[in-house]
Amino acid sequence: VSDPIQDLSFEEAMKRLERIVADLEAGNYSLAESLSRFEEGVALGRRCRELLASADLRIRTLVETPDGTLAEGEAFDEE
Amino acid sequence: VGLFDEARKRPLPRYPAAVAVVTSPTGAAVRDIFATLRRRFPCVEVLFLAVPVQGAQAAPAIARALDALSARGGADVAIVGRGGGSIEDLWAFNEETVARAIHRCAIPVISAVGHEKDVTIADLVADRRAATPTMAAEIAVPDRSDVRHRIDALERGMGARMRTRLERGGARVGELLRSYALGRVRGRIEHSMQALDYAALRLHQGLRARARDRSAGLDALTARLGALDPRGIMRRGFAVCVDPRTGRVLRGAGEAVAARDVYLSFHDGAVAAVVGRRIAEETR
Repeated sequence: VSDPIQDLSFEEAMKRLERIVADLEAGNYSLAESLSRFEEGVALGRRCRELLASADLRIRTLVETPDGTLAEGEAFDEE
Repeated sequence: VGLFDEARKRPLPRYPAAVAVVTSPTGAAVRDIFATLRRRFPCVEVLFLAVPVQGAQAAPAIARALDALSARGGADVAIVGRGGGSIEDLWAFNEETVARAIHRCAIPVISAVGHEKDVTIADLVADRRAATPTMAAEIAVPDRSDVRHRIDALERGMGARMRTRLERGGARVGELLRSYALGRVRGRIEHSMQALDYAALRLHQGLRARARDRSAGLDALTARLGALDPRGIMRRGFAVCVDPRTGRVLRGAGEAVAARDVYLSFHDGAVAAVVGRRIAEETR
């Protein structure tokens, strides 16, 4: 739970945001704790939106090497 | 044995970080898949493994690609398939080699072979069957406008809960302050109460404004919420008196005298205290 929000994947950030909303709904926190969870939730929502707005699809081409493992290949030309 | 068992079909990840695509580099299928992923969820990473999808080399190449992908890791779901063609063209996807490779793949596999009417062995073994390559991409990732709505709903839920919580919390702080025999500083209490009411009012206005105009940032709201933290009031010179045996807040001089050993909780920590005699009304 200690990962900085900026390093979270979309799925991790969404899961944490959903968890915070559920926890706030359960209402087991002190007022001060609720506020800090709320602030964390706001930051998580912002992180999710940022990732959703992120640039173009990254396509990595993987090619088989003689020993059967995968290596990075040349960029795929979609044209 | 067990290749077609419905019970072993794995659920797909809701928000995959990386999608593997195993198909031919030529033809419409790969372009349809990439275009659909880009339109719906462009923050996903694509791992593309180019394979022949017809001819004698196809089945072993597809199987090797899936095995290599399992060994490498890094993808959350795989799409395997090709566009439409004759029964002979699709034959690789009826081969046992491919069926077994799908079955032992480390991540869930979505098959997309040909058109709606074409059903291959690969389709039956895969965790999900898509009628077309485009539909495979639609199954693999969520649509980002749906996801944005979900985030909106979560933020609204959070805001509503926080408001309720603040109303409750705010009332309790007011009660506490009122219950103390602090006649000499009544003016200061009232000042604090007004500040609290004012902050609560601004919070409500903030929430209403946000409901009307969703583009208003949550940052401002968060800052207003901070103003309601009871620690802010305590920082101005108030302490809460607690009976350490029960954890209960003491609400009057009589209770404090009866408890004798108490904790005084300040904004930055608590101290143990021993209560002396009750003092006369006029010297309070």
